[in-house]
Amino acid sequence: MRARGARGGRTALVLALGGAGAIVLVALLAPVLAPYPEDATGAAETAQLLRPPSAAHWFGTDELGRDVFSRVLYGARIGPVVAVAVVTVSLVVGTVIGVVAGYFGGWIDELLMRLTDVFLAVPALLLALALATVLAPGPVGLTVALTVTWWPWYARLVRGETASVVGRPYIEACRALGLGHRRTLVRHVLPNASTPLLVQASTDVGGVLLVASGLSFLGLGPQPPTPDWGLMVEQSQNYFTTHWWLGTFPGAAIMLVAGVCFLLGDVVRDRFDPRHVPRPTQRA
Amino acid sequence: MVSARDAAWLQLRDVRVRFGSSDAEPVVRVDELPLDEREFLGLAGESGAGKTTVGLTVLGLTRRAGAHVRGSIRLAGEELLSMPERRLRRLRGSTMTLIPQNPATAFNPVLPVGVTVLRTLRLHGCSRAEARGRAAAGLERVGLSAAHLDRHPHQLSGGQLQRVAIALASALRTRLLIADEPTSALDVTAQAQICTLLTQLRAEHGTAVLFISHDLALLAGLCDRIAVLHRGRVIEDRPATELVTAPHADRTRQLLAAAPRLRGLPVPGPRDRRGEEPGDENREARDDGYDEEAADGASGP
Repeated sequence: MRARGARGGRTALVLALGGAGAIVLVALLAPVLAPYPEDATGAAETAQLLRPPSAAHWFGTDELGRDVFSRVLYGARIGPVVAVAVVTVSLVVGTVIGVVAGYFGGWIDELLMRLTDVFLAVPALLLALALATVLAPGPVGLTVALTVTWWPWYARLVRGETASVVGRPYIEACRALGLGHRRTLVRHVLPNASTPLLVQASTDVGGVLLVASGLSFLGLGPQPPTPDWGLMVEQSQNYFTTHWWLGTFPGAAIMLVAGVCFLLGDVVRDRFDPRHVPRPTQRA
Repeated sequence: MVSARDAAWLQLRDVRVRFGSSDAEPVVRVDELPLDEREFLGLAGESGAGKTTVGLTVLGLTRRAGAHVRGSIRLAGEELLSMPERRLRRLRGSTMTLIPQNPATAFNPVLPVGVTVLRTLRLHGCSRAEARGRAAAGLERVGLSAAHLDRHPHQLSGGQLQRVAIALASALRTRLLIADEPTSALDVTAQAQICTLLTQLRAEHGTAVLFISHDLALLAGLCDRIAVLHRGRVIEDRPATELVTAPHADRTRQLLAAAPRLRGLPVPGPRDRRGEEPGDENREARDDGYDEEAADGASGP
C-alpha cells in the first residue's frame, strides 16, 4: 500500500472519504431514504412474508414481511455508531492514562500500566463476551463491553509514544522556559505523541465494527426487533438456504462499511504516519 | 579575578549530583563555581565530564531525570535547590533559561516558532500586544523579521532557529543563559553569528552566560573565565586568556591540544566534529539526538 503512487493515493482518498460520507448520510437520512421506515422496528406484514427482491422491495422481505432494504439502511445507525463510539471513548480514556503514565513515569507509570496489563491479560474477545453477557443487552451495553477491552491498547501505545517524546530536547526546552506540567503535556507532548494513535484509531473502526457485529450475531448486542446488521444475519440463519436475501444484504452492508473504514484507516496512515512526516532536512 | 567570591551573583557550592541512588558515585562534584552578572563563564571538558549536568542542575531540571542533588546553588542570594518547584518555574524563562545544543530539535515541530515564542512571552506576564512587540524587537536584533514567526521549525535553518532562541531569551530579558554547546550543531558562519549575538545580549541586558563547550578555542575567544571540568570536578578555573596560554592542569593541555586551530587566535575556529560543508546548516538537523555528554544529564540512570 505504501508504494502506491500519488494517483493511487488520490483514488483511495476519494473512495474512502466518499464512502464514509455516504455512510454518514445514509445513517442520518435513513427515515427519508427508507421506502418503509416503519419496518425498521416492527410492524409484521403477514401478506408479504419472505418475498424475493423486487421493484417494491429491493432487498426482498423477511420472515415477518418487513422490507430488508429499509432495515439495512436503518442498520447504519447502529453498528457503525457503536464502532465509532467504542473507538472514541477508548481513545479518550487510553490517551489520558497513557499520557499521564508516560509523562510522569515512576510509580504513577507503574500503577497505571499494571492496571492496563490486568485488562490486557484477559483475552479481549472473551472479556467482551463476558461483559456483554452481564450488561443489559443492547447498543449501550455492547459499547461499554467493547470499550473496556479496547482502551488498554491505546493506553499502551500513547504511553510509549509519550515516553519517547518526553525525552526530546524541545520538551526540556519547555521546562527551561518555565512551562508547567499541564501546559507542557497538553500543548507540546500530546500533539507530538498523537499521530500514531490517530492512525491506529482510524484503522480500528472497521475492526470494532466486525467484532461488534460478531457479538451482535451471538445475541449479545441489540435485541430484536432492532435492525442491527449482525442481528439480522443471525436471524436469517434458519432461512438462509431457501431465502438468501435475508442474510446476504445485511452481511454485505457489514463488509462494505468495514471495507470503507479500513480504506479510510489506510489513507490516514499514508498521510499521517510519522515515517511520512517530512524530515527537518527537507526544507519547504 | 579570584576564584573565591562569596558575593557572586550565581554561586555553586559543594554541589553533588548523583544518578540512581543517593549514595552512588557523584557525576558532578563542584566545590565552587561563581558567576557574576554580565560575565561569560566557559565550562569546558571532555564528553561525559558533567558539563550539561551542571547546566541543567542550575536550571533545576536534573531532579526530574531522577538525579539526587546536594549542596547549594544561590542566585542573587536565593537558594535554588530548596526552592519550591512553583517558584523555580517562574524563574525559568524570566530569569534564567537554556540555549539548546541542537536548535533543530529544541522547537516543537508541530507549532510555528512564533507560537512558541509568543506563548512563552505571554506565560511570563506579557500582554498580547507587548509580546508581539518584544518578539519583533528581539527578532530584529538577531537579524530576522517577524515573518519568520509563521514558519515551522523544519522551514528554518539551524542557525536561524538558534537566533530565534536567542531572540526569545532577549525578549524575555533573561539574565542568565545556560548555553549548552549552542553552536555545535551549526556551521562556522552561524557559529560566529551566535557568539556575536550572545556578546551583544550581554552589552544590552547585562546577561550572564554559562557557555558549555568542549572547544577551548571557541571559549577563549568569547569568555571572561573558563572552568575546566573533569569527571565532574572543576580542575581549573581561571581567566580565559590566562588559562589557554598557560594551562596548569594536564587535562586542560589535552583539551587545548585537541583544538589545533587555536595557536593564539582569538576568533572561534571551525570545529564541527562531523565536518560537513559550510552553509548546509540543515544537515545537522537530521541528527535529532543529543550528544553523549548531553545524554548523561537528560536520561539519568
